[in-house]
Amino acid sequence: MTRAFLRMNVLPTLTLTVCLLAPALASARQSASSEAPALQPTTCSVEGLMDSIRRGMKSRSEAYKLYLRTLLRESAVNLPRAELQAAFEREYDPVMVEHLAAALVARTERGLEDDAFQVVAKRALEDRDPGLRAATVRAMRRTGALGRSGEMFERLVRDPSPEVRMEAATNLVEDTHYVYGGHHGPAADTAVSAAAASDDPKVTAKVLGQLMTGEISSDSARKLERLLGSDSAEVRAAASTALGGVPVAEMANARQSLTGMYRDEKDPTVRKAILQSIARLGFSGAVPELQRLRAVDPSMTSEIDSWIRVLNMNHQDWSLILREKQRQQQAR
Amino acid sequence: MRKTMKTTLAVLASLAFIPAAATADVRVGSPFPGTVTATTYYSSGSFHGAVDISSANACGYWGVETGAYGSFHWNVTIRTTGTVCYGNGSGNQNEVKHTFANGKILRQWHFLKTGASVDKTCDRCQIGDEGGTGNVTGPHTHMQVDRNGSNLTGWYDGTTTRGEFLSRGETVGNIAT
Repeated sequence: MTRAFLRMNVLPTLTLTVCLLAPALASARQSASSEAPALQPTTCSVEGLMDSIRRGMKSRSEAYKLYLRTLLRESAVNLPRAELQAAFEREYDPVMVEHLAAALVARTERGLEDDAFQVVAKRALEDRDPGLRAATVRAMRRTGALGRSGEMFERLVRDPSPEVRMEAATNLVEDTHYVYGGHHGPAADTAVSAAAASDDPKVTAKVLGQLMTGEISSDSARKLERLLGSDSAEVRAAASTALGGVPVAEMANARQSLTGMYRDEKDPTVRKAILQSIARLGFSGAVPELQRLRAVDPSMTSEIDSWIRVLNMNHQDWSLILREKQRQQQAR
Repeated sequence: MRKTMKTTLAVLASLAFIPAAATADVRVGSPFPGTVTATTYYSSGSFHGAVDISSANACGYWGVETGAYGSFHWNVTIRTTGTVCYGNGSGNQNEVKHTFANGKILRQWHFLKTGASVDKTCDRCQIGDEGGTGNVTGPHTHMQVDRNGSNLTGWYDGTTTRGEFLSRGETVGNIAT
């Protein structure tokens, strides 16, 4: 029986409960009376809910704060849109801005107004306060923002504030991974374009270093190859890593670019990333290529031999190959 | 009265347990109000490896939602455009699916095509009407999670049982992603 209660869709009911009781309980707390407070019915409102959240945010429990965020997002579809938007536009506390923005985005995600998302996107791009821009960017995380406005991300990764740029990079990584499962070409292409458009090497490296590139287009593959020539070693390493996961049609070009680059590369971190991608692109078929590269840089010989040993085990899954390589590294 | 009690206790339970349930799992809810008519095995004993939910022959009445809580990209395949309630042969089912980064695929089958039956990125959105396209004996939604061609049962096992009624959004199971 308990299990049945736990599994019920209780948030809408709970929202109503909080909306109905919160103002009454708040006023009751203010009175010093020892009598039990009389519960007063009142209208469910954005303001009432926001007051509850403001109080809840002072809690030291992260789980409780997460619960409140979820509560507001779930309630968003039942709250008046105009009231919600007005509260968002007049709010200047970054924490509350993030919550209200997430509620507006939730309306779009749940199939209500498309333009609720646009209100948030506009503030992410145009607010004067970088802290508020960053908060609104966070509010769009793990939503369909990437599909709705790829152009927005190309602007966000060039934002004057490093905080905003990094938040945008996090969104690109998490949206492509969690919302699109890493299997959606257009989403990955948007992420590659945004990464390539940024002048901040940390942003480009963060996106490309974690992106699943198995469905990217030829255009995106060419962009990654161009980034191998970046002045930043971080970017070169991340682009090398990204090229390791490209679709079958791009594998030959990627292998050629990476092998050619290895000979001129001086940075050991980038060289390690290149070797990993060559291994990933060829599996056991990469062994002859790796053997040829042993002569280029004696300091990388043990790394190459380690890859050759692992690839010769003939595992057929990249995650197994990578795990075995890591195991050997730890055993050393 | 019983319903009121159930709702009240559910609110209390949620106050106690929702914060603790903050995991990386994706919760999957019922796509419409209905009864669970099959889980791992059919009543005949043959393997099913999925959850069937039906609203007692209300073909075309209930809108079918994507079940996963959270924003996801959904890929829709329409194989039958007409209204089919009692089956039109194996392989003809309409399908909506999301592929997670770890390779697990959540699929929902058999709905009727509507204007909403298009690829989209959304959170619990309408995808069609309850129907019986494909290899079925009556209208329902088949919810399946598979990886590398094998159906997984752990995501609903212990959470959902045959014969129980689920309201829209009520938990069917949780997918580890």
